[in-house]
Amino acid sequence: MVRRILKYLYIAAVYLVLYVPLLVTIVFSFNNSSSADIWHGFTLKWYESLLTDKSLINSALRSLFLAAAAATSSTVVGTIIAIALHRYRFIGQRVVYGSLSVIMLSPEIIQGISLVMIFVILGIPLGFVTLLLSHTVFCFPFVTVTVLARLKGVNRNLAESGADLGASDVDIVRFILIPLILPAVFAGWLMSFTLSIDDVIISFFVGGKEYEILPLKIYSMVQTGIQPDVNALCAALFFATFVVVMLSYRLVRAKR
Amino acid sequence: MLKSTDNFCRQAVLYFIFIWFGIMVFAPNLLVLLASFLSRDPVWYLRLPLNLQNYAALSDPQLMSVILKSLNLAFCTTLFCLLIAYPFTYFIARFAKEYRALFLMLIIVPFWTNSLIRNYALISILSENGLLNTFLIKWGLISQPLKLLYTDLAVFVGMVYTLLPFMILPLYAVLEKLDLNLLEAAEDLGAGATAAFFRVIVPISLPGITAGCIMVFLPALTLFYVSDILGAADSAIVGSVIRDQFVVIKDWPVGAAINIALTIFMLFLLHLYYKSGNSVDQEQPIW
Amino acid sequence: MEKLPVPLLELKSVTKFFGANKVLDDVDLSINDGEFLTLLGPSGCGKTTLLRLIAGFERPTTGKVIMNGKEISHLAPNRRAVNMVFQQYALFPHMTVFDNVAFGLKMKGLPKDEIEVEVFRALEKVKMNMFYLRYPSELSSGQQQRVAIARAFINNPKILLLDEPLSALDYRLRQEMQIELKELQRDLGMTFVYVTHDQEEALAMSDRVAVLNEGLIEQVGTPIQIYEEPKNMFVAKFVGEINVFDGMVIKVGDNDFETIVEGMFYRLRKPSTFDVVRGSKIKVLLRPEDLLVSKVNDPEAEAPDNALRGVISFLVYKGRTVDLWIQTAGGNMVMATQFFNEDDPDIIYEVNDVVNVSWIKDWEVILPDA
Repeated sequence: MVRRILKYLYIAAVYLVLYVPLLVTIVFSFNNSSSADIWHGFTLKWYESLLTDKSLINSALRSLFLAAAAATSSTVVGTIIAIALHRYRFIGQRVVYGSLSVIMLSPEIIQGISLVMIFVILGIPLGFVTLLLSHTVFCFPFVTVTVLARLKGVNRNLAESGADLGASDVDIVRFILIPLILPAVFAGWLMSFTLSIDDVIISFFVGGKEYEILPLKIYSMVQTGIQPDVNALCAALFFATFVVVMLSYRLVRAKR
Repeated sequence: MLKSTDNFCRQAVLYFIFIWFGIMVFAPNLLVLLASFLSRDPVWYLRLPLNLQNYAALSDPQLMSVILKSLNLAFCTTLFCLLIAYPFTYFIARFAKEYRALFLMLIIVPFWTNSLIRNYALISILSENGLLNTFLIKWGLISQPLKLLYTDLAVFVGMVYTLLPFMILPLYAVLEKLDLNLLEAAEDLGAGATAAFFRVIVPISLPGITAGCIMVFLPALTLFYVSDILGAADSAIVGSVIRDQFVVIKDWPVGAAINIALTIFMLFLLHLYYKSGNSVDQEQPIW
Repeated sequence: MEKLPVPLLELKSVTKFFGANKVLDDVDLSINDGEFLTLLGPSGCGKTTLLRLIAGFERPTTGKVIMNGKEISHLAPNRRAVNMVFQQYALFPHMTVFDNVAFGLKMKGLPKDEIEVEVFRALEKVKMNMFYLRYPSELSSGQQQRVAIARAFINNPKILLLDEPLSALDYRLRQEMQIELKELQRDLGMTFVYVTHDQEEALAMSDRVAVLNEGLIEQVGTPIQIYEEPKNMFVAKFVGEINVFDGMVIKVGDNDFETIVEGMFYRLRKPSTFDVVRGSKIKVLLRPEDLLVSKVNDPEAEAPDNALRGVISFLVYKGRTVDLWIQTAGGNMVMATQFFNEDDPDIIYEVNDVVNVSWIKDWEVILPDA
């Protein structure tokens, strides 16, 4: 019994550690003072001042748009690669497999540096395009791996019986495989969205001044001190993301 | 004999894969490798001749001390994360299936707020008048507020906080699949509960442990914004050095050389990972 | 004179390797239009590979697959006029019964209303028209089976391939489906190629049976030929129960020969399949139901000509029949199946009864000693 209680206390403590900074951000977004450590009573003034801070709101919207775009493109790229790895045999297949886990395990700084160098050499101006490409590069392996795991669970006979009934390869993918892997595709999208929203380092290298996303804006504000309207923004973003993800999760669940 | 559209699709998809991997994965890394042997150019960043000077710069004693300190921090972070994450993950992986998904989701949710922002929130907790000091004084554990913020300790706390989920998720992938019968079989064969755990569970979860350690150790060397936000002026880590070479000093070749050294170190760790049994197969998400 | 059947599909010296593993060894087989042909053999004998070669999922390593005189060895499955019923049915889990059955016609690009008519016609044939809105997971395995069959034959293939379609069903349902399948085949007038390891199923349903073993076709023939005139020991033993006696040829005549079996002297008809040579060893094979058993009231009396003396060591009642295991004087264990005859009191056998075992002349099968 005591062991059970200790176990639950331990689990609760770890979650507390993970959530305390979030809670602090949310709580201090209602703090009637610009100090970030002492509670001075409830206010909504930071939310009001946030509404007037166009550049902050714009950077948040850019972040969200980038994450949605990057999640979508990495889902497309990752799913195509997963299906190709599953259905085709080709030269370099093992290299592709191997690179997937190397990309997933390599620290962001290595990817950030190498990508910024290729963009500069190729003369691609740093901005939305480079951010989108880079985020797609570090997210797509997670989609590929998730979709591949699902494809492995699809009975091989299903594709064969499709072929037997006259379906071409393209038809098999369209009518049989894609409907069956849809949950994994969605999970991959969500994973990519999460990774993209959370990224700092790669964006730091490949991002440009014309398309400043939220973490980079905040990073540039750290030295001068951050106003609590940033807390308000983060709290609002957190709830917005939470609601959107839960709704879409529900939607997918209901369709299944 | 495939239909011609099928053949076309196959060709198109394979070309796409080759081009994608070629331009976005292989070319950038080869470029870094090449750059590490080139010379610095104030305008074009890189120029000939080829040389090994950049690697010689790695032996600079000042840089060396930063690297050693950073390695020490990364090692402590990894060890601490493992010690916290292992029992935690072991517990939640044992819950009924419908709860497990929820518990896992709860680990992902904080990621929706950018980690830089979450680290910034740590300031309010660790500062002199912050939550932690306030509570400790209230409970009478200390009389004077502790100097926590802008120290190496704060960087360590920030790293552990930021990277803990990256230890939990790969561990979860192996521990979830663990067959409890194995534990019972081991106990049935006369192993005590502790012996059964260390001789059966730990070896089986080794791939998850190594994957988690890689996913914590390497970022702990490189998440420069954590040390920027929470650390003192001398809390620089390997990532800060690389960043400065590229952004401040604009010495690409030396930055590339440090990056290559880091990459070689990563490949060495990956080699250990694949040798550790690799029973988390390549097609399974390790997180 | 009998009309010569037209071969619809021919396999010509087909060999198939998986890596270094030879799965099919120089197989020749022709399938006639409209027949029900069964490929019978133990697991791993190559029967499923043979089926997949016909479907187009495998390519022969050497040899040819010919349909209606045209070689189709390298034609993709979706270009062949054959359809397959898979062992685990392989119904698309995300489609209704209707969509599953309609899939092949949709791929052909038929107009919607035509598809609808065809689908309901097919579903009616397998008595599944009431279930057209259900998903496969909402059907019993027997119902899934029917849908899988309808999904295949609706495309009007030249050949319908069935890969152990009944193996997942329980015994009673299997019996029912055997009859239904046979009726369906007659009704459709379609060529069926059926794979099974169950010899009873093979004998019950087929027009012809091909027995496979280790990649070789051991014998092709009607169920009666396979059962009554097995060409070799493998076929004899794989299809039904059989008793095997060793014999020695002592004299060869014009139409018959003399041999000693179990120490008894027999005059048997010469087999047509091989030459018996004086002094050579042979096998004499007898089905349990071809053996005649009679109780011996006086154990001291000599056994009559052509009869082996033995003792019942155990017996199994099976309702209409009884299986007797008889230990012969020569030391062999012989199994005999006897039908109950209510008029004959002799039928009450007991363990340790002394019996004479004989058989109706010419019902034996003679094979050379391997």
